[in-house]
Amino acid sequence: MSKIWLVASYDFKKHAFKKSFVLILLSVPIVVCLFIGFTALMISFENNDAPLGYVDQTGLLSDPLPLPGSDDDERVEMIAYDNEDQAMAALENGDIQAYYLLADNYFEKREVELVYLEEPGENAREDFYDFMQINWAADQPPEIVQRVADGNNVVVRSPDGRREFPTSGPTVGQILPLVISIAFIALVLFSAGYMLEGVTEEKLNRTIEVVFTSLSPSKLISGKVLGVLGVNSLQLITWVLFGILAVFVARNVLNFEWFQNMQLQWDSIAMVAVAGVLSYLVATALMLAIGSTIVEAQEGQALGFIFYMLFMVPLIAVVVIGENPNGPIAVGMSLLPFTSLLTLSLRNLFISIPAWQLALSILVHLLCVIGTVWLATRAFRLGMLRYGQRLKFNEIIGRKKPTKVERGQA
Amino acid sequence: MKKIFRVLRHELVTALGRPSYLLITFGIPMLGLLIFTIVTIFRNQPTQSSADDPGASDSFEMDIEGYIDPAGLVKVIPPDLPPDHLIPYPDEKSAQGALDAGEIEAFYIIPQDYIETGDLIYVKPGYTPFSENNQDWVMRWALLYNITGGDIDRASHIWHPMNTTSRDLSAELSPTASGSGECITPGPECDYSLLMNILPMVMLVMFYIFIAAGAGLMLNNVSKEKQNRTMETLMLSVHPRQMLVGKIAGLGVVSLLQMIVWITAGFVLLRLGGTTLSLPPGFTIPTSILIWALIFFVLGYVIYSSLMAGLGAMVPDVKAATQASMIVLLPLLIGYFLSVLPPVQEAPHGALATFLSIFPLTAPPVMMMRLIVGNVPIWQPLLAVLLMFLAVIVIIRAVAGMFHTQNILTGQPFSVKLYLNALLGRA
Repeated sequence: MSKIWLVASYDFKKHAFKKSFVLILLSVPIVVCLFIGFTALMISFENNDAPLGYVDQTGLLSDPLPLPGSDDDERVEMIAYDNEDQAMAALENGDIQAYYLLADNYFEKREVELVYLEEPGENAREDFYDFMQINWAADQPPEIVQRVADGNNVVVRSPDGRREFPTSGPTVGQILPLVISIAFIALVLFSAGYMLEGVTEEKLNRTIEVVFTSLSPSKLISGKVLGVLGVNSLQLITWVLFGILAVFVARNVLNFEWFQNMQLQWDSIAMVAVAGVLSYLVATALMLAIGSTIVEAQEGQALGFIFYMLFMVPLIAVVVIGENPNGPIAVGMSLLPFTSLLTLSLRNLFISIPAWQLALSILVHLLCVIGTVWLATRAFRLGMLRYGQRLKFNEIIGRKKPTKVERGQA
Repeated sequence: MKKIFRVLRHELVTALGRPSYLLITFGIPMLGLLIFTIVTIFRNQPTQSSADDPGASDSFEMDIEGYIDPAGLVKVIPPDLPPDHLIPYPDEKSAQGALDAGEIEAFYIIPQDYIETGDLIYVKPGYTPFSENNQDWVMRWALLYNITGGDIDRASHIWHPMNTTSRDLSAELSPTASGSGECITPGPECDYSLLMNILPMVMLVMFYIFIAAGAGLMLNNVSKEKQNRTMETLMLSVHPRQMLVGKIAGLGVVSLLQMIVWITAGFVLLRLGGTTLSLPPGFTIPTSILIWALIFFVLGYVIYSSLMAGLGAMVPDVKAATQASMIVLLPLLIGYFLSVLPPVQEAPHGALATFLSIFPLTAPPVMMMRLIVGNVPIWQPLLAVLLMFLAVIVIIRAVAGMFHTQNILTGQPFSVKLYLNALLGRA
């Protein structure tokens, strides 16, 4: 047992104590921050807080109600002009970003012309739409005007009451299982490199021959797997801590509304965690098996990418899964290794996944774990001393025995 | 020349025989086609028409739904909704019973404090945002109609107060059409086709990926040969420039093949798609664009694969090569990121976009994006090609110089300073 720990500790230190590992550890949080920053930048480019003009020839906006929130500069300022010449002069002067023209025939056709030199901000367009809406309700009691301005919060509930989905978009609690499943997929992508390197590196530099003089193959492989598991666990813990910190900042420092009423769905989180761990084990064991069969480490890295693509397959079918989360494609993909992780978390957004499907999915994964682990240990044992010669699948499953020449080379 | 062809043939045969290459080049597009075919077969073809507009209710086959309204807000069903399609229930239990019995498809719960909170609960089996028969607008419309006094004209104006037409004063100087009409050229102004709208961006991304992938192949190849000492032997009988040209040509053909297969698969998927991402009828890519694409891909590939080959000669092993590759790809990456930002997307012929499309290290993807948008003065792609061609000559000479014994045999760790010095011939 001590030898297994020795190998695990060596492999863990080899990966985790590198300077570049800090970069790998922080890469996902950095990418997430960059993505959020980039999105915020894109939104800021789309918005424009400069005032907006309007020329009203109908009298609808003769004594307009201001938009709720106008006093706090949350809304774009609306400036009335008596005629189009004035509005045009203001536009050319840069006083306003654009102006709307309500012509005489507005009541019949509802046609409004937007005039601009540069595309106005999306927020300005939305604010003018709201401005028109509340002024059509101007003679109503204030609470009705407020309701018209604020709109509705429609929540769709499943008949059994177990699922609620706001039509405005999912909540943090609903989206979290999906984030966790993506984190597991990222973990698989990172672990591919470690696992393949662990299997091929010592084989390629011939150290493995020396190692086998004092250690059995099963102990070596167990130690290596434990080492990689340790590295991946460290990554996962770092990401979780970073996620908690990010949510804390978003909720308490930046006061983002989306994070205020977080209702975590622990059953969904547990389901995704189980599916994630099982998928990770299947993928890791399979990578180990492939790593034992390949001749060069580079080939293994390309295959690692293909595993990643397999995990991402449900994204291609996201519309089909979304349209019919209980359909044959969605159910089938929930049962299969690789595709199950994302499919389950996507379906979980909309429906309660039947217990029998979860149980069947877990069973399929457990069988796959057993099968791939058997395959991996066998492939490793057969391929550990083969240099420059590819191990065939038939040999791993024992249908083809190595020839005398091959045995001689080994 | 004979040695160049020999190197070329070797690279071609080796790369084309590699399972990982075949899997990525042919496997992934085939997987995409397979998934698309399965999805098309299983997808429900005839769907109920839906509308988010009370005015569309004449042609819209509305489901029968129930509602529970303890505050009594819904006094009258709007006259434009079909009668007996919104049925009141005294409590949730009776509505649930009707739902279970199949008398109604869904029901709404309007809370007592609806006016203050705006909360509305819609109980519906099998709801997803992707479902095409969601009709929660029916109750929203009924509530708006009732709380604003039952005046259908006013309620309808609050619901949809205006139809906006745009007058872009700057566009009066430009031939590009926008709005609801058909577009003359692809680009962000083109609203009527999503694909036409994003086509320049797609071209930008594709060129970035294909050039980076092609250069990556070269890096792996050179660094591997350096690591296993094959290069030392090769240098005895082949001149560095001959080897570099042979490798660039061989791996270039391999990358070009990959690009053609992926683009063809993408084109087939779009032709079969027929929905959101369909190409407009009669849309064809002009031959001139295809020729420019070939020229810019080849030149871009040669520049970056040469730089990668130099990097491969400097790094101690394959692993270090992968880590260092970002240094070479940085100009391409910066050009790509600047190009996806709104200043370039909204003004594809502005100063920044023009500079990025002429500067040799950023030109291929950015110029192709601009050519797809159209109206690029002919001197600009010609100047870009000339500058890239000059850059190719300079870079190949510089990189061939990096294949010296002191670089190939040395095992010292890689550094940016060392790479740049070697590129400038100072190492």
